[in-house]
Amino acid sequence: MLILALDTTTRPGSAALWHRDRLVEVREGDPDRTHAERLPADLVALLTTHAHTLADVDIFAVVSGPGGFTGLRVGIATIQGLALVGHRPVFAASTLLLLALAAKDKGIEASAGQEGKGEDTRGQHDSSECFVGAWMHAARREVFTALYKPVDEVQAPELAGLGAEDIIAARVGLVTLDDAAVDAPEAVAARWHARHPSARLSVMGDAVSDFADPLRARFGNAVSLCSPPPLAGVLARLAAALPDVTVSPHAIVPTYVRRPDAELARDRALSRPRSDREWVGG
Amino acid sequence: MKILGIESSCDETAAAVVEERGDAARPWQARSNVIASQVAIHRAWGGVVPELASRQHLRDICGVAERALEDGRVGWRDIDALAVTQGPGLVGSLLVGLSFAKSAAASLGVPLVPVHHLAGHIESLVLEHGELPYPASVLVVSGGHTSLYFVPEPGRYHLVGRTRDDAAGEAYDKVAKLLGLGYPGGPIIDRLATQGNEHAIAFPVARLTHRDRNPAPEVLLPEGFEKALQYRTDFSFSGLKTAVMRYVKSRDAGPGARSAFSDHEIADICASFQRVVIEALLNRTFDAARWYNARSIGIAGGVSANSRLRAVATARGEQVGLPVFVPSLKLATDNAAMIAAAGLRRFHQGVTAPLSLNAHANLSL
Repeated sequence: MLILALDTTTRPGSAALWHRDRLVEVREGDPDRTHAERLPADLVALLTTHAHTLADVDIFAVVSGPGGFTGLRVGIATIQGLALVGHRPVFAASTLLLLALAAKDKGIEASAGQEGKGEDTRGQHDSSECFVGAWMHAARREVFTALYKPVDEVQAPELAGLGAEDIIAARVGLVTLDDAAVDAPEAVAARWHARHPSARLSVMGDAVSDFADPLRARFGNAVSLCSPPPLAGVLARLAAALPDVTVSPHAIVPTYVRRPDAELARDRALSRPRSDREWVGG
Repeated sequence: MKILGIESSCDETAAAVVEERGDAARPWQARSNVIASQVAIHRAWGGVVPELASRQHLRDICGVAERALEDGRVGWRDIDALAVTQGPGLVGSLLVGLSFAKSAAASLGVPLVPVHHLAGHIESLVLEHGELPYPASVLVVSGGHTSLYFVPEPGRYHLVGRTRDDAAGEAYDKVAKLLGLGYPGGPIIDRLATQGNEHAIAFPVARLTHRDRNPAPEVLLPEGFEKALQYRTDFSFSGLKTAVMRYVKSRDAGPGARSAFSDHEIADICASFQRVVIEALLNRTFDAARWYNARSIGIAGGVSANSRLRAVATARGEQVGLPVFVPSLKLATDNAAMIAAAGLRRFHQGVTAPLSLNAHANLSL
């Protein structure tokens, strides 16, 4: 099975190729050029490097957001065009889920490493739960976030009633604790801490370097912060694990999280006293 | 040759299949022309909201493209090239169609042809009527554009006038909003104006004889034309909109002022406003035709669907012996058949684009 995965939610973004049972290559994009300038040529180049063509691809995968709105739409429209013409299915997953999955995998790797050395630092927090979170830049001094609980297995009956994204999460051992949100870092850290005061957190995302203080202030040493890997590789691996969760290119649902500014402005205007709503001709 | 056109420059997601007929006088034929309009979404806002438009394009693009193929009774492998609107327009909207088209072209291994949106509107006249008698004076007038082109021969366009501020269709929308008539304003004002006296209110007609002080695309005349004529074919509608607003305020009426006026008065305002808009549009179009010895007049774009504009233009054309061409309604509003037609024109001029093609919100023609 050949999977071509694309992430355009950050400025460089990334593309990845999965063939048979392995990740063949993950390639980061050139941040000095826009996604619109680079696509779909970057994808064709990646395939060509490994002696494949667009016609060889079995599944196209795309990160569905959140992230920069323009890049997100360029990425999805690109994959739509490729999949529609090629009559191929699409696997789509949110940036937040992929970050949490990467954080979870990193935690497992770290634990395995510690066990190999005969050390066990987990005992310090045996009584607390360990969660994984996503922490992304959302501009306007806000972050896109979500919080998940790693579990060994989710029973089929527990999947009933879940949305598509939550089903994907559950099938890879993540249960959503705090839905995708966009808010001030301080507000999210406070909310997470109020709900899970003794939890240990492994948080991943491109905002961990700039907006770590609120998390550290609330969770202290119980929070570990990690920069994300290129997400196309995580996406390709996930698509390979769940090839039955594909959709048609028409059915890709972008995960914007933030509502359109026009709606936010309207709500703000409506919340003001009526006498303050001065009409300005236009 | 069959070409698939993709258009997403504003609030219509459109796709169309156009093929060549092998007839130089009537070169193209639309096999399909599918438009997913977002008017219902933007009506609540009184105008197009760019972010909402971009989001909707992404929802609609696949279905619209598939429907265009189905209606045209062709498959993807029957498509010989893709044409896509590169600009001008809302960049977020443009990028959805552009990204989709680039991928589709790459997947099919066929050429991609970038098209200027206004060239598409000009070529909608040829798609509908066959080649015009050239040279032609062509007005492209819509909610986002008011531009006058001198077309000396097929596929050559010289911009000879443009709006300095609002597009004519934008002025219709704003006046309709001011009067509380709804959105889009053009069809509503056109309908109400039929009941009114177009001389009831003396709204001003803008006349521009000076260079625009704001940065804007330079108006370029074909060689041999007097420089002195250069700025006489520009348009301006913001003063007219303000005049209507002042008139409304003079009656102590605020925004959405319909209740402050009788139906008869509303009809008079609409008719008087429309008379001034049409006078401004047609005076410049016919002046340009006279200066450039045009053999025909073309009026394209969404506002060309205005019944009064069509009637007055046709009457003036008959007076001066110039045929006036306007597209049918489906080719007047934003559509992809016109983009496909213009794409065929450009393809035969040797124009194709690399996969690095980007959208340009202010692309000039």
